[in-house]
Amino acid sequence: MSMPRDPLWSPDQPGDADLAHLERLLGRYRHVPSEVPVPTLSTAPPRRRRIRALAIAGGGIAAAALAVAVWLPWRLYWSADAPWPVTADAAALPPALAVGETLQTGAGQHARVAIARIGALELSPETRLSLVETRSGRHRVALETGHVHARVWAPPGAFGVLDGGAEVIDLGCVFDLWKRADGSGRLAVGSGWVMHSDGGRETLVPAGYALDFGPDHVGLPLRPAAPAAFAEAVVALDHTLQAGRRDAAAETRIAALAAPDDAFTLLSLLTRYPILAEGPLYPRLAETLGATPLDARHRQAWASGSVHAINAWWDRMPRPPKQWWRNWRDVVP
Amino acid sequence: MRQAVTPFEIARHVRDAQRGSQAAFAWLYRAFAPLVHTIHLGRAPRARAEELAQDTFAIAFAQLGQLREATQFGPWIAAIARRHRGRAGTDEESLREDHDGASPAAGPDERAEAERALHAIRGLPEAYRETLLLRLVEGLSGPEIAALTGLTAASVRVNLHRGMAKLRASLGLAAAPEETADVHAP
Repeated sequence: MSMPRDPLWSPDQPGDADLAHLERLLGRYRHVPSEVPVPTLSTAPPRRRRIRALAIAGGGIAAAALAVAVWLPWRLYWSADAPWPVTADAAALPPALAVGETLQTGAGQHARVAIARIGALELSPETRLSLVETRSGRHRVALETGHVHARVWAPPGAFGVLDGGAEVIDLGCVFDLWKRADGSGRLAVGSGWVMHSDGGRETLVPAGYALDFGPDHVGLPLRPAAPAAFAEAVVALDHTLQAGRRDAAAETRIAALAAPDDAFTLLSLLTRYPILAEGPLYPRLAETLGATPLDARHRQAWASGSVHAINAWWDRMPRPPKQWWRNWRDVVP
Repeated sequence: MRQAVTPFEIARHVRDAQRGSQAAFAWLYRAFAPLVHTIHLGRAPRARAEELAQDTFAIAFAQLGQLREATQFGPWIAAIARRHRGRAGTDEESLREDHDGASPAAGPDERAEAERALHAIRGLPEAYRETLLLRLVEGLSGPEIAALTGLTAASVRVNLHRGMAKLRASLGLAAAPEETADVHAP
């Protein structure tokens, strides 16, 4: 007697389209093998362990000082050109990535690359990544194509991804970077901040925002969950302004559509094009940042491109990039 | 279909690991990492789930001498994983920080779709959630899931079918007849 077909029980059997789609979507969360954990062996009896725990708790301040004095320099130190360890779910990939070498994952292959001791990179299938430079305080890779998920806890600028003439610079955070063969891509930040630098134009992207970029243009940070109408209006206005034109109707529309969570998009837009402070976007940003009542002198200074005026509102953003150490959850063991 | 690990293999490697064999530790890690990872993935963002899985194995290996029934390594380490939640809770804010190894060809839109599917699975009861994650995320078959979890084949099949039916309903997908029939079965 033959067994009834059951693709849930036997993945080898073809399932319906929805099941196949869910398998493909969720397969990306598959466990990536890492080093075998070391047992945390302890032979001390419970009473002694309690006493030791109390002693450790009492010495908390000393431990913290020790961490700063010993652990942090150790974490940040890396011998120049020392290769980065690689772990992968396929034996075909090399165990380490040296300067000048390229790592290529195949279809269905994932790999995890240690970024010296400051973090880790996870490579998705069909990704090409090269190690360009590594030494204490400066680690650079080049992403040719594919997707990487980076998790770093280090001072700003320690880690960066080169993309032709552009550079994605970690400011202490977690981020995803996609790169297509045509040079376009997307940067999505999960925690902390990332800076996209392209020919002197620097765009800061905070947690919860994503940035689309292409070979000829860098977009503005947008929330992935922002309404499509708002996102499309921002992209269109960006292109209009870059072409040297104003569009008062578009500015009014964006101000009307902007939600409080879109404050950073408005701030980026006004920073890139200070002249917009003359229009309706300035009071809308002031409202979202709680910078009311409006200050006519500040507005005029912003419209004329005053760095001091612009910085005054950047400082209103929660957790500015210089406070990278507060993203301590990004420490990767 | 891949061969599921057998109770004999599990017991042999547990005993070898208890005697200090590094190869046995590595075998247990490779075999059971998908189980431990999915338990954590059901409650924590992916990167955190990977960390918690490593922690769980470190704890389990340190306590391996206390495991009497060597064949029960799967249920035993699963219980440790469920108890070990680490510092992060399961609040929505932390789960929203999921980052994944999305295929570059798929792009960010599919990532959002994947996150919605994962979010829906996280809303299922624990038995369905863990079994379904082993099947859809780790790609394990019913026999492999049964071997790792220590559940009977019948329990795994029911969890898969009922969990999948609930997931389809949650995502607004059309029901599959065999799953729906199973859901309504007594």
